[in-house]
Amino acid sequence: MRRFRKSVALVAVCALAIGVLAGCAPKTTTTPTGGTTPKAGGTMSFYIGEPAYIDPYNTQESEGTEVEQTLFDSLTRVDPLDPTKLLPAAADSWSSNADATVWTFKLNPKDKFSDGTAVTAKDFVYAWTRIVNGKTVNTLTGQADPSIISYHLGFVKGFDALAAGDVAVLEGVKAVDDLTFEVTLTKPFADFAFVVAHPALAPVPQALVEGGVDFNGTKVAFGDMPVGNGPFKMSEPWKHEQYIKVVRNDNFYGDKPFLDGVDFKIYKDTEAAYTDFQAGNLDFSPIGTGQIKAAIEAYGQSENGYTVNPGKQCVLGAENATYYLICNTEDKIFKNAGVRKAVSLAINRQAICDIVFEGTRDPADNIIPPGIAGYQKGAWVDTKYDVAAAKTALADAGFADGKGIGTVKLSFNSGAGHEKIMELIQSDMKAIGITAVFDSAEFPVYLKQLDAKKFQIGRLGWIADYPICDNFLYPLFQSKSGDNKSAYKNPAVDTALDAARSTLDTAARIKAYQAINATVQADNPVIPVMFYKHTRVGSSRLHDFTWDAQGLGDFTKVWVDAAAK
Amino acid sequence: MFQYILRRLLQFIPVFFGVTLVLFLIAHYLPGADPVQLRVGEKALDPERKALIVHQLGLDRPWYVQYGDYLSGLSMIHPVYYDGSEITGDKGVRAEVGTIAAIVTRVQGDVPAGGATTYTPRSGVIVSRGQWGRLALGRLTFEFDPLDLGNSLYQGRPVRDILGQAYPYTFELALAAIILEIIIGIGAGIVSAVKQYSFWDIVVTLSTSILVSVPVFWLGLMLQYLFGIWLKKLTGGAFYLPPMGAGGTSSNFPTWVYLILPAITLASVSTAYAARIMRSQLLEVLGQDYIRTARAKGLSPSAVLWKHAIKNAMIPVVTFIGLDFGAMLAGAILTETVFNWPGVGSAIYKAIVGRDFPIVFGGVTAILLVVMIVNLAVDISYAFLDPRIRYDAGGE
Repeated sequence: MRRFRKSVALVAVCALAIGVLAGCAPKTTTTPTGGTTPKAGGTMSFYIGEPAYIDPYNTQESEGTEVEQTLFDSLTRVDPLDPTKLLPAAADSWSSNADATVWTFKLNPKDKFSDGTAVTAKDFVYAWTRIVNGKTVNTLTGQADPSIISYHLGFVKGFDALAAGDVAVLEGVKAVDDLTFEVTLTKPFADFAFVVAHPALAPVPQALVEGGVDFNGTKVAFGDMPVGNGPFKMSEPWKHEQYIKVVRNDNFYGDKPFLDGVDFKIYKDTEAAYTDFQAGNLDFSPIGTGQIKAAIEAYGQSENGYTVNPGKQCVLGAENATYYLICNTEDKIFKNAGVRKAVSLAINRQAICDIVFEGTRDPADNIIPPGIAGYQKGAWVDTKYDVAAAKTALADAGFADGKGIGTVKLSFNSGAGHEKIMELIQSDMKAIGITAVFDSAEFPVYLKQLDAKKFQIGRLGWIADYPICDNFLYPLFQSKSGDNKSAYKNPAVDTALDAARSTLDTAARIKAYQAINATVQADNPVIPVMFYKHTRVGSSRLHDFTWDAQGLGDFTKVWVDAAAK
Repeated sequence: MFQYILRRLLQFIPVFFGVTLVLFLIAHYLPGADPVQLRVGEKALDPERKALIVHQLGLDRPWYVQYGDYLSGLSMIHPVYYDGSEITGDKGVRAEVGTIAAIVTRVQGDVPAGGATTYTPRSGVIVSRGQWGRLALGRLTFEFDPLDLGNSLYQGRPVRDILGQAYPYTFELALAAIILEIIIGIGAGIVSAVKQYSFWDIVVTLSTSILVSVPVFWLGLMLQYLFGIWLKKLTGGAFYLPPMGAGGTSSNFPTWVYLILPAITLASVSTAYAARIMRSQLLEVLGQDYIRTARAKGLSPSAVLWKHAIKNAMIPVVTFIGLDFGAMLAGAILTETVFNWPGVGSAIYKAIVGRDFPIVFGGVTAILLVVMIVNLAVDISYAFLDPRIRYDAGGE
């Protein structure tokens, strides 16, 4: 027994010692280095989740697009620091006819694929045909696997026929000569030059798509090792669930990157990525949940919100994306515009941003986020928080103090972190007399609910494919759009949208979209809640790395300081 | 023994059909099972494009037809009846005209002398048959093809490739964890039982209690912070262990180093249980009459322990470790997620959430097979541990 007591005491002392040592864990800090002269060389590591595809014809989510845009160059490119500005890329210049239905792109004669073959207009014809064609073969499976991003080319002439498989060519695209690519649209679209900036619309080499890519004497499917005309090229095939390595493409026609390469490290979980970042194994990572303030303290904050430099490493800039509630305008309660107005006025958006997101989101005052040309501060007047006005609006709608409304279902997809937001919204609605209950479902079930209009008020997020007003207003409010989940129908808005699309003068076009926005906001078919913002951090090795509002990195300007820790 | 093994292998068949049938029914009737829409996310997909994709993926067919297709891909042997009429279609492309008794496919044309033939069961789908040869018995022919588990609905890759790339990592991790479990778990249990009430017994008892209570993912995170971040900052990398991943061509360590932390994490709870079971079993055996007799006969303590006591105490431990190994080979989702290990557990989990059913079916089939083999191996090992156990006729 005495031996037993001695043993217990010894074990207790050991445990205490371990506990004391555990409390002495050092804080993570960085040591920024000076120097502003870019240095060539070095590799940067970048967080992504496992992409679905990196073959441009079907790159659909942000991970695939992030990789794909380093390998491929589209006709135009959005300025990373000014999303209202379009820059030449594979096309030196472009123009349209008087009604913006025929677009002509003059290609850069120096543009080459990374294997040295010249990029010609035929490569764009082939690439775009591949995107639209319903019989396009997936190079990894050998089976037809039609692109789900063909909507980018939905208004190119001949789209329907090719998509249905009636023909084998896309009538509206033409290689006038090697360096002239002409596109004919079925309807005017003055912002088409922004559409063609999308990374998925890049050229691809037909021979390699269909024959495979040679890698160390074996043929690799194009889908695992795409060959493009971008600033980087694949150094080895995609190592699924682990990494994608790209190296500098010395055949790139534009400014060569400073980096030797980029390692896209694939993580299953953003928390795991942040841990690896803190261990010094990752150069650009999402910030872990609940650690934003600590990250800002440890690593500093980017001056413009998008560019990483030592000591200013957290990027928290606005994204081209809006989180909003959708009102089912066919529902017996929410068909009443006064009810929608009341709910919008009742929501304390600032509280949601502060409480749930540690201040890393901004309250939405518009459906169009800042940074998009045409954004106007406060354009959606009912997004201000005003409980008194909300009660008045509800009374004017015939439901004073919420009487007669009954219980409202607040729908959202479960397990994606929306619960806390909905709790606050539920509480805000209660303050004006509306009792809301949660109606959450798994994501696929929730989407079906929205399509079947089996909801009263739900939530969605909209991320712009291209940084233009049209990409918010047309999909969300055009009466026949599949993304118009609120079933909003306004023939005047439909007509105005078509008219705006054919307005060539940029200033006039933007004014037209602003007028449409003003019309829509008066009806409140959706209720903007907040604008998404970046929550990422870079290591102190990085200089001049910009991660833009579209969530695309500019890997051509970044350079690394190998000496930094 | 052979009959026993054969009987156990045959038992796999009804289990396999039962499990996969239930899975197919769930996949078909689960609300919101729309993998094509899930690929697109919240954005709308053109209804005509969606219908085309659904048709090409075969998702618009009845569930029993999809099930039959799956079994056909799994079987690797395809019976075909060539009816001898002129070959239609392009050279090498055979025309299907129906099935005989719902199993044998009836095809127009003559039996090809050799080489694979292709056919198009529906728009955009090309199936190749006879890639590994064929055996013609008159008009009835058996065509041999590699395993076909279909294609992922989300990733656009063959399921065989996805699981084939993930399983080696799962096996590696499971093997490393089970070795740790065997060495440390059994070793600690033996020490604890032999030196009952000593300092080491208390250490083992306390630490196993703690390990059993600690969530696996929390332990993993703590190990990552300790060895991957804190010690690296303190020592400049002296005790640094990479906190995640499986290595790569430019990694600083050989691949086995990346296994250390995940293997410790995965093995933690099981090691604690193994130690506890070993301890209690050994204590019980050491109290038996025959052990007292062995000691009385003058056998050394180590001979008593290693030749008599441990073997008799091992059966429950072997059962536990065997079941545990089978479970690890089914994939360790939490450990794989925390350590970013590219194993099969997280692949199957992602497939379930994304309704990517071909991966789920393929993964479950593989798990069934693996667990069956491991359980069979465990049962066979009893015969070696305990001579009283026999599996011949009348002996079970």
